[in-house]
Amino acid sequence: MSREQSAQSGIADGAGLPGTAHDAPAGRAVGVGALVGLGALIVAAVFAGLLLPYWGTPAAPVTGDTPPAETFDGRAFSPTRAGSSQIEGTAQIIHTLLGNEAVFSLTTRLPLQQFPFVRLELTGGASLRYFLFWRTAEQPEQQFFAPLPGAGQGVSWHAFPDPALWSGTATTVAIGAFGDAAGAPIILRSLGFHGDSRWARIASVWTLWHAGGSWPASGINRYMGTPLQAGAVFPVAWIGLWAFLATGMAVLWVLWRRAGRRTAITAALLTIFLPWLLLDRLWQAQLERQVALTYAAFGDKTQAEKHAAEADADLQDYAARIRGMLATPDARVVLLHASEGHNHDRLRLQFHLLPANVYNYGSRLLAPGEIRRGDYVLALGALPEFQYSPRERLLSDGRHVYRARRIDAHPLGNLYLISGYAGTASTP
Amino acid sequence: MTAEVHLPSLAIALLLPWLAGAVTIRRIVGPAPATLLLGHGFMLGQLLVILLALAWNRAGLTFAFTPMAITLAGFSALLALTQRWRGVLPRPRLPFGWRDALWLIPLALFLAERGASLTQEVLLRPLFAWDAWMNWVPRAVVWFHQGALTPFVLPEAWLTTNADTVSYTLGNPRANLYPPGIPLLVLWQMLAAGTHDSTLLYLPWLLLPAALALALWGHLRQHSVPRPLSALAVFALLSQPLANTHVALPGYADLWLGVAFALGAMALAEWHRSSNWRWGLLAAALALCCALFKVPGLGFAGLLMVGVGVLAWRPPVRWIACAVLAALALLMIGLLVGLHPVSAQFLADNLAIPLPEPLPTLRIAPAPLLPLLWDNMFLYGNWHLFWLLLAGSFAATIFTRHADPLRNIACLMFVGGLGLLLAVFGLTHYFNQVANGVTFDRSMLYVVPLGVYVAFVLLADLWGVQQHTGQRG
Repeated sequence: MSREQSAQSGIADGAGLPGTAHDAPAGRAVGVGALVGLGALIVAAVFAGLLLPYWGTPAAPVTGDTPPAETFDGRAFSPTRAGSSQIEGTAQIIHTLLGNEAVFSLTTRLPLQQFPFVRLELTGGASLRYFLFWRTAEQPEQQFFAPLPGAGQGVSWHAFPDPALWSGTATTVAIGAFGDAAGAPIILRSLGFHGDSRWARIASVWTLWHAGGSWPASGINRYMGTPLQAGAVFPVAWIGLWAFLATGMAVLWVLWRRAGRRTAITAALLTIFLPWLLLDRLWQAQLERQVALTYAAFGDKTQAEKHAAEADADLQDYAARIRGMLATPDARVVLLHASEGHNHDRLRLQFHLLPANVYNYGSRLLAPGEIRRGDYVLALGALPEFQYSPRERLLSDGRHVYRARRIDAHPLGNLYLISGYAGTASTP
Repeated sequence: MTAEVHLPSLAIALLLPWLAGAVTIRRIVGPAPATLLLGHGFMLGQLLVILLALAWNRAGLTFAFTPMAITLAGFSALLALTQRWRGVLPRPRLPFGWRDALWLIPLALFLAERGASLTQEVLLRPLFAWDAWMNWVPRAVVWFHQGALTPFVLPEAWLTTNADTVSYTLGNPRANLYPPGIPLLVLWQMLAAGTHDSTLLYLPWLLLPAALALALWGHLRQHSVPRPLSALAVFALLSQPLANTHVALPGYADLWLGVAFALGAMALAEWHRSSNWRWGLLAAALALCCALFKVPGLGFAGLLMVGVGVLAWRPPVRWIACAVLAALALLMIGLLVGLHPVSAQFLADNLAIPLPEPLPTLRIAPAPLLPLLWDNMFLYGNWHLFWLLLAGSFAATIFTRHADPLRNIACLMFVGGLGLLLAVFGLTHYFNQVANGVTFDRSMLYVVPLGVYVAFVLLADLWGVQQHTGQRG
C-alpha cells in the first residue's frame, strides 16, 4: 500500500510501512555505521575533555601545571579512637572499633585553600560511614567536619570547593569511621591533599558516582545517580551530553556524506547505547554494593532473625509484646501519638500490630460512641496531656475521662483496656 | 509472626496463574508465538487470580489456597481442552548463526547479572518500601487472617462502625480507597505460603519484568524488528534503574500499572498489525488490570479503551491528528502558563472540575512543571538515556517522514499516557507531589516501558523492515 493511500484511510491501514528502500547491503551499512558511531564518540569525548577545564568555578588549571600535593602515609596517623590497632608497612590498621567508632588523627600545618581536593586510600567495612575532621589555627576551638561519600573502597577523591568551610591552616586532621564494621579491619594507607587539576576534578566526580550506600527511604521514588549536594554532577547529564554530542556529530556526518538510513541508525544507536552501557555499569556497581550490604545485614538468617536485624527491631519487639496482650488478634486498638502526617514510628507500629484493627490518628482520646468497651488505647511516646490514675483506673486526656485498666507500661508507650466512659474532664 | 513457608504451594501459586493466563490468551487470540503467550499470560494470570478472589468472596466462601487453586486449574484445563492444539502450533524454529552470538551472549550475561542482583535483594530483605507496608500489604495481611475481604473504610467511617460489623482503616486515609488488585495478588501468595511474613511472597515482582521482556521481544519480532535490535530493546527495558528498584524493593503498584498499560498498548498494536480484532479483547482485559491496580490506572484504562474504540471505528487519520495536536497544544500552553505565576494563579482561582469518587475535585492550577520534568528526564539516573533515545526516534521519524507516528496506535497510547501524566502533575494541585519528590518520577513508570517499544518500532520502520502477517520467534 502506498503512503498516499494510507493517508486516505487513516489509522486502520497499518502502522508499519513496507520497507522497500534499502539503501545499501545491510552488513556494509551496519559496519560503516559502527565506525561512524565509534568515531563520533571519540571526537565527542575529546570535545567534552576540552570543555572540562571550564566547568566549575574557578576554571581548572590548563595542562602543564603541576598542582601542589601533600601526602601522608597511614603510619603518620595516630589511632586516637580504636579498640585495637597496628602499623603494617606504611598503613595504619584499626582492627576493632570503640563503640562503633574509629578515628585516625594527624597533627600538621596545612594551608587548606591550596589543596581543594583530598585523595584518600582506605578500605573498611562496607556499611561504615566516613568523615573528615579538621581544626584550624585561625579557629582552634572549632571542629570542622565533612562526609566522605564513596570512601572506604580503596582510593577515593573528595572535593572541598567551599571556601567558607575549607580555609585557614589546618592544625589537626582526622578520618573518622562510624557504624558496624562487621569485623572488617579499617586500613588507612594514605591521605593526600591536592591542588586543583582536571584529573582531581574527574576523579572526585567519579568517586561520587560510586558513592551509593544502602537504600534510602526515598530510593523507591527516584534514583539520582550521585549524592544530592550543591553542585552535584549527575552522571546522566554528563554522559548524556557526551551521547548527545556524539549522536549529533554522527548525524551531521550522515547528512554530509548522504549515507543511508541504516548507516545512520547504526551510528546513532551506538552513540546512545555505549554511553548507556557505561551508565548501566555504574548502576550495576551500585546494585552490587547494595547487595553486599543487604547480605551483610540479612544473609543466612531466618525471617525472624531478619526482623531482629532491621532498623526498627525495637518497635517490632514492642509490637509483638502488645499483640501478646490483646484479647484477640483482631482487637480494636486506638493508636495515639503526638505527631501529624505520616510519622514513621506510628505507621510502622500499625503494620507490625497486624492483624490488629488499628485506628491510627490523632493524639487525643476519641469521643464516647467512637470508642467501645473492650477497645484498647495505645499511647505511643509521650502524651503530656494524658493522665492515668491506677487507683481509680481512670484515663484522661484533659477532655474525656474513660474507665480503663493499664495493662502494659513500657518505655515506648502504654496500653490501656477501655471499660467505659466516665465523663468529661473537669478543669484543673 | 513468622511461620514456615510451604514451598510447593508457593511454586504452584507462581506458575499456575501464568499457565492459566497463557492458555486464556491462546483461547482469546488464537495461535501466537510462545513469547507473546508467556509474556501476556503472566499478567492475564494475575487478573484471573484477582477475579477469582473477588468472586470467591462474593460467593461467601472462606479464602483457602487449595480449593482456589483447583478452581483455577480446572478453568485452565477446560480452556485447554476446548482448543485445537494440533497442527496449529508453530514449530519452534531458531535459525541462529554464529553472528547471533554477538548480541545473544552479551544479552544473556546482562540478564544473568542483573537477575542475580535483583533476586538476592528480593529474597534477602524484609518488606522495606514505605507504601508497601503502609498501603498495599496491610490489606492482604488482614484478608489473610480474616479469610475474607474485610472492608477498609475512611477513618471517619471507622469511628461510626457499629459493633456488628468489622472494618479496618489504614494510617493513610486515601489508601483505604485504593483498588484491590495488588493486595489480592499478595494475598494469593500468602494463602499459598501459609504465612503473611516471608520475602518469598514478593517473587511476582521479580517475574513481572521478565514477562514484559518476553512480550516486548514477541511484539517487536511480530513487527519484523531484527533480533539484534529486539535484544537491544530488552536491554533498554530491563536496565533502567528506577524500574529495577521497584523490583528490588517490591510491594509498590507502579510497575504493575506500567506493565499492564504497555502490554495493553502492544496488544492494540498487534490488532492493528494483524487485523485480528481478538487482540482488542486482550487490550480490554489489560485495561481492567490497570483499573484494578491503582487509582491513576482508571485514566490509563480509559486510554486503552479509547485505543480499542479508535481501532474498531477507524476514523480518518486527520481527525486523530487534529485531536492529538490540539490536546498537545493545550497542554503545552498550560505548562508554559505554569511558568508565569500571575497567569497560573488566575486559572487556579477560576477552574475546578468535580470528578466521581474516589477521585478528588480536579482544580486546574498550572504549575512550573517543565524544569522538574527536564530534571526527571535528562538529569536524574532513573531512566539512563531512554528519553534521549525516544526523542531521537521521534525526531528521525518526523525528519525523514518515513513513517507517521500518528498511524502507530502504540505511539498514540504513549503520547496519551505521557500527556495524561503531564496534565495531572502540571495543571493540577498534584504538582505538590512533584515538588516533594515523592510521586512524579515513579509515575513515569506508567509510560516508560511502552516508550521502549515505541522507540524501537519507530526505529524499525526507519530501518525499513518488511512487514509480515505471519509469526516470528
